[in-house]
Amino acid sequence: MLLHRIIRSLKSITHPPNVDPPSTSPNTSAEAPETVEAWGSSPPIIIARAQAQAQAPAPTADNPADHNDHAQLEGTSAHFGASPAPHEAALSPSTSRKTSSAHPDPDPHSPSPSPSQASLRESTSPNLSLSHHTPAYEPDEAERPEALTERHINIRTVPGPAPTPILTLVEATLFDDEIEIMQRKIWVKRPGQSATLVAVSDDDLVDTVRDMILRKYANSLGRSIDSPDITLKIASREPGNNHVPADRVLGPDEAIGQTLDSYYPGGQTIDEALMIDVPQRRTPKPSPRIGNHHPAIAYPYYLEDHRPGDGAREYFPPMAVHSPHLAPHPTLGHLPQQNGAHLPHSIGILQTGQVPALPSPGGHSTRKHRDGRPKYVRQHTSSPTIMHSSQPHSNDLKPQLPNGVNPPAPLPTPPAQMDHRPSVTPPNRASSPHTGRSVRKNKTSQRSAKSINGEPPPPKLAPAGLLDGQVPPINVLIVEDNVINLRLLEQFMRRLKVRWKSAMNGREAVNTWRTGGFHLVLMDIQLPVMSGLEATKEIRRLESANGIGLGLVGDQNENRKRTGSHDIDPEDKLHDMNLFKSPVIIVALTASSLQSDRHEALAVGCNDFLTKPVGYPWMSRKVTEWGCMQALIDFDGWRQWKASVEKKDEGLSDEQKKAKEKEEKAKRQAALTAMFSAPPPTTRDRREGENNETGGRSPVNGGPTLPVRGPRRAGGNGTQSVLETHEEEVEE
Amino acid sequence: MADAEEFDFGDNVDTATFEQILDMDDADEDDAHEFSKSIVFGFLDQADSTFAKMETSKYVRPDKSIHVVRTLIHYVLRKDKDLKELSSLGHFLKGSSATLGFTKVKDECEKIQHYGQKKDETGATDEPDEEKCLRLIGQSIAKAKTAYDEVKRLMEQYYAKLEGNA
Repeated sequence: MLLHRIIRSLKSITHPPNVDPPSTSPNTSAEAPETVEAWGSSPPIIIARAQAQAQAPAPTADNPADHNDHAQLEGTSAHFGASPAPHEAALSPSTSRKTSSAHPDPDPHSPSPSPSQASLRESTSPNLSLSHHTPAYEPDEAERPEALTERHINIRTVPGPAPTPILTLVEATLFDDEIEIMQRKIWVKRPGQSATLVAVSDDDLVDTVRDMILRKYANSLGRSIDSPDITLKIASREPGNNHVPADRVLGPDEAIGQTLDSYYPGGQTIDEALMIDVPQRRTPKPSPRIGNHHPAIAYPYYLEDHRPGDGAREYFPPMAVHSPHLAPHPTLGHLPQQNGAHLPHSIGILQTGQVPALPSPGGHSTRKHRDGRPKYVRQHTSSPTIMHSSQPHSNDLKPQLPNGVNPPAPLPTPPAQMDHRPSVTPPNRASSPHTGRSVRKNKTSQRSAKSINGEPPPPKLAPAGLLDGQVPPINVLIVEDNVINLRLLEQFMRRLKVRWKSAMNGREAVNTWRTGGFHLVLMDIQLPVMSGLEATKEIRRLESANGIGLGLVGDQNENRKRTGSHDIDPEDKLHDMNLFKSPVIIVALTASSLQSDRHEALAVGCNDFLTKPVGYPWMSRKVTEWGCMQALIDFDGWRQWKASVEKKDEGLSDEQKKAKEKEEKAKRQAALTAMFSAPPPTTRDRREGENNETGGRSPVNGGPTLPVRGPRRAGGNGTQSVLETHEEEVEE
Repeated sequence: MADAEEFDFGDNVDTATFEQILDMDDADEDDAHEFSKSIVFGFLDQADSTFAKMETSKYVRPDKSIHVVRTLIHYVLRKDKDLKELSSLGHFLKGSSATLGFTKVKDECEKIQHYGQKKDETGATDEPDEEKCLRLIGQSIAKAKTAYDEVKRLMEQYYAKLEGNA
């Protein structure tokens, strides 16, 4: 008979309650009757115990236990009509389970020294609730009226002071008519977390247990580490016993059943759950999500318990600045306000298995989001957050490098290998950094400074975080068709003390660029005559034709011959190759926020991308980043320029300087009025002929307070006196 | 200047953007707001002339038509050319008004740009009916002008105030 088989194959797993504190023993006996009753009311349980015999180290006190088991079993078997057999496991059907499942217990971990039913329930309930099934699939078994269909059984010690009466859990897996392999359920837990059961066969090795653990923790461990990397620790019940180490790592080849039985004769209690140890990763690992390729960025992210950091305050000040930047960012628009808000706790959890403590509330609104969020034990990492959250870090790095060393992000690669990252960074910020505000405040203070002591005020404050006031001495080409925007950009340049030239359409831009000496081009994309993209393509083409920036040391002409670019079209040839030390950095300016436009710009050879209207802080940051790098490349040029500037300065007294400035201003005004009275360019007007009008249209180049100007000549480093330049410009 | 915050532009001007412009003013000069003033008033002039151009583009000048057929041809051809013309004018003015933060003007100009491209106001879907586009452009021009007049008034007041204080 089926039942016979079951029972025969049962092995007493119950161990003598020797070591158990005198407590819960009465339970078991008390349970017996209940058991029966329970059986009457619920599908009974089957005890399945396969290789119990294999358990050599079964304590000798088996017998007394057996007796009791016997008794119980007899009780039960009588019920079922099965004959008792030696070594029958005591059936303590999960009555308690039954009852306990009726009372979902809140405290599964309590050692329950109280001899109450409740304690039993408590300890058993977790198992029970886990395993409680009401399989209805075998009603036809005659000998199992109450169906030995229950999956789980508690084998309880008999009278004995079981700390928690669960000794071992055995599971019978029933498939059709057969009782299959006797499975064993083992308590395991992650440090500081709830314990859980994993089912393995009794003769399985620790290795298998690890696999099962991984399956159970599929969401957390399963995604981050592999089974062989898990360590299981077993704790001895008797810390005082020198023969048995208090805490031991289980080797993968150990038979788990044996080990457990030796450590926990009588059965493993939930408190004796094996500890799952997950090695702390020291190297950054890729996010579990496919597609994230920024481990380097993710690293500080993971380990730092993700705080946006103080630097981030610059990007996300508490005030919500409504800026046109905000409106059109479909893909990345959610980034700005949610800097840290989504920062999944899951990351911390995946890593350490513990929910990280919430960072202390900072001053910002973004932090507040996080403080209010519930703690998750398991969470899927959603892709956008990782991807985007990683960005703030890369950006934080930038302003915090005051020494002019460029972080790798804005790479001056030749167009072929563009680093797309710089383009995704600043333009997506919701609000301008603090610098905008601080600049203004300083202005007022400077004004007062002036009035106080009559001395010329210190040079205008460079934006905060900018090289301690050092400005990259670069030459910028501004290409913009709308005169208002052009004016604004020029003013930016003036503020930044960089030299500049301007162009109003694509053709003009290329021509001006050819004169050489430009480090940075701010290229409006929507231009008349030749679009910004066209102009970019043309510039890049000329650069490659002339072999600029191939990284060759020495005379460029020599190098050109060597590289075989001798077949340059004479039209394409650039004249003064010394002015082209490296490919020029082209920053695309566009009003459009479409991703496609962005990609297109990068594809034709732009290095970076900004959306209009461009704020001054962004502009200054861009100029600094790209400019410093370029200035370093062209160090000689910079030195010459610096020397010339200083020489000029020496010759003039303060008064003369002021007079000079006034003059410059007057000229500027005149030029401006002339410019504004001109009608806006229309499609009809936009001809190449406009090419020639640049001179008259653009205001005086480079007239900031310091005598740094944008000389019109090619080369840009020429020492020209102010007066000369003005005269030329007026003529034109 | 802190004054921009106190002065109420309503929703005609995006304060944040406009303040950027003000930031660019050189503080220690005699004419403290020279830069921003020049930009603002330059824009006003520019807008005036742009609107004028739009008007001429929009209407078929009756004196050009001599012959009915020619008129029609003219009309058809002009319409298409005009739409493009108007679109580019709209785009142009949109750029500068955005720089200054004149949002209402900018929004209308953007619509004009889209209508001129034979699309609906958002620029998403096509609007093949040219007559309709022209008509809509006409409406938008009118709205843009209204917004512009408002902004002009505000700016004049604002600078009067600033100058008055300075």
